[in-house]
Amino acid sequence: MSKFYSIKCPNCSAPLAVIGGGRVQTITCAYCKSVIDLNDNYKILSQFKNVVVPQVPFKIGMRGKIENVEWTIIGWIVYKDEDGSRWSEFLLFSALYGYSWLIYEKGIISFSRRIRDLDLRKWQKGVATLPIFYKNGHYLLEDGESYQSVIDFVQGELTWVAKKGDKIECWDYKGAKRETITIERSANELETYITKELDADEVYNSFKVEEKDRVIKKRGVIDRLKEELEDKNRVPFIGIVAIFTALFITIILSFSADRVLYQSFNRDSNRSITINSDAFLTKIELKGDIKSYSLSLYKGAKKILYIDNSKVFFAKKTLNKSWSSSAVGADIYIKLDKGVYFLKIKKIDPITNKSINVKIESGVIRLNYILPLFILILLFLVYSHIFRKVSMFSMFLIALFIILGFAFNLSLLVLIALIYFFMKRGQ
Amino acid sequence: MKNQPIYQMPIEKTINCPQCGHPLPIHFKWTKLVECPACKSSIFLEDESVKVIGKASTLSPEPSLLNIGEPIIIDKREYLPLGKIRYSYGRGFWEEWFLKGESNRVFWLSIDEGDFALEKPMNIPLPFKDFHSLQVGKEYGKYVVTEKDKAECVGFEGELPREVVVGDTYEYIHLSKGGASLVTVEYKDGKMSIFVGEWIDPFTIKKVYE
Repeated sequence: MSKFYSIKCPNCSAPLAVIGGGRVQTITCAYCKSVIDLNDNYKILSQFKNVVVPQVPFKIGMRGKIENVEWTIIGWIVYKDEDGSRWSEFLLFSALYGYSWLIYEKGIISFSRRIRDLDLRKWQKGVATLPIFYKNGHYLLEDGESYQSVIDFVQGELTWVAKKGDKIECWDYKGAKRETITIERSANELETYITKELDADEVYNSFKVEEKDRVIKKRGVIDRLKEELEDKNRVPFIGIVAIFTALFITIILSFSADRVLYQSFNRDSNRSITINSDAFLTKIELKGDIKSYSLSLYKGAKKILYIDNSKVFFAKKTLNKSWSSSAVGADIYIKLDKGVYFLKIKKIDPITNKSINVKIESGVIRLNYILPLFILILLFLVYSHIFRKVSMFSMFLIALFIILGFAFNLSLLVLIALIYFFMKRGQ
Repeated sequence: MKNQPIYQMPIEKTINCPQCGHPLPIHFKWTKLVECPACKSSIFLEDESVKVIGKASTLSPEPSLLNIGEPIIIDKREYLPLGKIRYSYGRGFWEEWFLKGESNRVFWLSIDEGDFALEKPMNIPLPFKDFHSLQVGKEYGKYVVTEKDKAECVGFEGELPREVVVGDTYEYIHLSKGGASLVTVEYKDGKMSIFVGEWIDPFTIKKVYE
């Protein structure tokens, strides 16, 4: 901590305000580019001659809030790498939180601060290409190797003596939520930083950057989706696992249907059958000489289903079409409530001596319907989560209600799920 | 109600300033030094006696994450800042905050422009005997010396569990055994005091009452 003060540049006499606290070691004159040592009688250490000042949206002296802390830009370094790419790092100072960095590269803005709780001894003894673990996340080395940053330009205050051409070896380890851990090795030090990409518009607004100076990197839909997923990477993963677990359970259940009847008929017959579960569907499978027989299903005196080779009656409607004349089998799926039913088989072709096989199973899942339904739910959840900011817990509840609702024909559950979704969306 | 403090510190005992008679509530059982807010005297407490040992220099107000009497939480543990000492290192200064922890334990939070370290006094075996032979960057046993310097006390506020004299200097070193670990060894008048702790992230410090 220290007081703000101002000095005159010993080379060009320009007034220079020193605002960055007691750790500041050098200030580089914005006019003549002399690097002045604040610890040694304002001696000129070097000069950034004939350098072109890069055009960037930020300037020394700007103030703004990042992570609810007010920061002042006190220094500026431009680095370049082996490929010639350049980026700016602005030294930020806060009287409460000390020093941090605002990094700017072609419209992408990040906030970086030093961390001390990563065990660098372990890293030094290990292999740099291995992932590193920090707090609750793991970070993977980007591009599989380190790179060199070379100082190209300096302005304002810095907490060390920086000269043009100074090299720093950097290892960038990329983690989730657009966070990166960077290990920097210079001639004298080994330091670790955690960097998080920020919303460029929010930073520009906070630092009051003029509209004409603002640069925001344009991103394609895939980039945006990738970032959204990165921001919430763990949450959709849990959701997708939950949905696929539910799908897996459904498929297992589809093989565990309850057989109600399996019999061959060659004359008029009546059978009483009992449906014990109204979950999912009841399947009536007909095989053999199906053209020569008709099938009726009654619950008490009420006719539920009638089918022969020319017409179908179901749900109070009669359709004048059933199976084709060459068909040797038919599968009928209907939704039946629990209870006792009467099955009537009638021979409509008196001269046939062939039989018809009837198999009835309850609790049947039609994967043909369930799979697209699951895919639709999955798309709906991903869309809701990314674009509507519905929390994962809400999404999971909605998915559970919808699945249970469909499974057990409880339209009320589906309705509750939809109401809950729209309430959450509105919050 | 607007000006009422949101937190009332528990009081161990109350004494009167021997200089001006101002009542001085003491909030820590083993407080050794307290500054009278009325006459700015430094009052030394020993057993049942109290004596004025001089004037505490008035510290210029500086922005800080901590305030005396406002409890904070670090890593789910609650601490009550009761006093602070300001040390100078020439062009700047840093502060050592005395925190009362759970079960009346003493903690020190060092704040130096974004570098925060929480330590507690502890006697641990050190792999060296001669403090003055230590060199920055060298390894001694499992420790590396990361910093060696002198500090001058420029003032204090509140109450402290030890005596400090404004203008006194002492030498110190920082030792690290990797990660956030930190051991500070202070050297004064041939005696070493050891403090063990770690660097902490200032963004993790929360106030109990926002």
